[in-house]
Amino acid sequence: MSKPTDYELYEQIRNQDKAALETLYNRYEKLLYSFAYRMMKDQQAAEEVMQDVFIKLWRGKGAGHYVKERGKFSSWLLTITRNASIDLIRKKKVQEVEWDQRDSVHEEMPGVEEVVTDKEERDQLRNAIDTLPDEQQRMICLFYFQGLSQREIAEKCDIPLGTVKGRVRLALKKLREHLDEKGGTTDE
Amino acid sequence: MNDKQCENVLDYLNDQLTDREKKEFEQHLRECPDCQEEVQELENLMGDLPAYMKEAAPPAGMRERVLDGVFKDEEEQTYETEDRQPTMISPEKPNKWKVWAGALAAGLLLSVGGNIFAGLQLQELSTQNEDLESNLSDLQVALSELEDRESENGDTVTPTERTQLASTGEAGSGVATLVDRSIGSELLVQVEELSELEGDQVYQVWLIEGENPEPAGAFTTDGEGNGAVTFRIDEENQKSWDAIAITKEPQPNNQLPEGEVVLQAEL
Repeated sequence: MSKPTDYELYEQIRNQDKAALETLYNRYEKLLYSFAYRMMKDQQAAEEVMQDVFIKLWRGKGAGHYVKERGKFSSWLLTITRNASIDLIRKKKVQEVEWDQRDSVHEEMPGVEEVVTDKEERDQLRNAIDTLPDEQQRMICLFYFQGLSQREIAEKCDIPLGTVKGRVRLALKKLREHLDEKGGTTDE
Repeated sequence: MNDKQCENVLDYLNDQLTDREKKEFEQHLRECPDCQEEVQELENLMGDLPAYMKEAAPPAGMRERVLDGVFKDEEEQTYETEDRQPTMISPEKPNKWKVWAGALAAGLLLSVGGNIFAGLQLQELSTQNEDLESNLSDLQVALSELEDRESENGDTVTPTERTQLASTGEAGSGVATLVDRSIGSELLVQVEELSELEGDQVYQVWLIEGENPEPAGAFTTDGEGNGAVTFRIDEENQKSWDAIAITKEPQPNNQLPEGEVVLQAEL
């Protein structure tokens, strides 16, 4: 048989086919782990997230239940990975470290913009975020990476509750524009 | 009226709603094109961000550990019905709810010293005993009715936990009973002599895990302050509840308490 689609694998997983889960794992390990690692900034915690995601997938109930209306399978998988990360962040009560301290440590990053190394190419996200105004960086950090609730963001930034949604949206939009300008992997 | 639901878009996307809130929001989502559009837009904006992230090398042996963990979890699952995540430890289970209830009743607590408060509660409790007697018999009737109803489906119920609801100062008393069923459980709350509600106000029951309250049914009272409500807890939403509280809410369907606690008990 040729390569099964994600959905076919998922169906098999629903029938408790262990081999299917392993195939799916292999297919997504790198993407999901990289993402979880980015969220958690910790190897062990990222692995915990992976464990959680695949347990949910195997159980296939609640959050681990995929329906086609949820959109692409891979997006859905990333969503539950993000949710699992947010969940764990909350559980661990990771101290809230601001974006600057946490993310702007440009370890092995050359200072000159023109030098587009392979490594930089792959971390386009950070580069793109860095170009945003501080406020927008903050919105992305608090909403996307820390998974705070609307109320928490309002309190932390001392802005009215009603404006949070608009600001998050704007920040994500600007981020998207920057990413698109760079001619990244535009899919769909 | 739906504005309140429309405000949940971000918390929905960040999975910050309780199961119940989530269900309600998803219901709303089906009917609200604005929210559909917003959710869609934000999901699209976030969707492929991970593809732009730097790749991280998975730690050695993770594959085996994760997959073993999954299949081991499955074995454990056959012995446990409780929906928990084996890799996560939830160690301490202190009476955090007290903090929560305390914050809610802050105004009340501030005006009354802690000791006096406790004393008052004791007094209240003893006067409530009589009421509770009668409450109890009502409850037993309700329970047996419940049993009757369930036995038709070949299901049986067992009360697993019964607790007296103590007043926080205002009038009122009540009993809460948790009933185990083959699928999930049912919470039965019965109260009396609660103060009268005004306008849109309702009495809202909350089940509290740690510091997180989840709505568990609401009711209004009759002229004498009597009220009752049953609430079904699905198997998936089973938690180890620490406490139960009843608040007076300015309007129905609040997902987080706004009003003060009128009755409460540890579970």
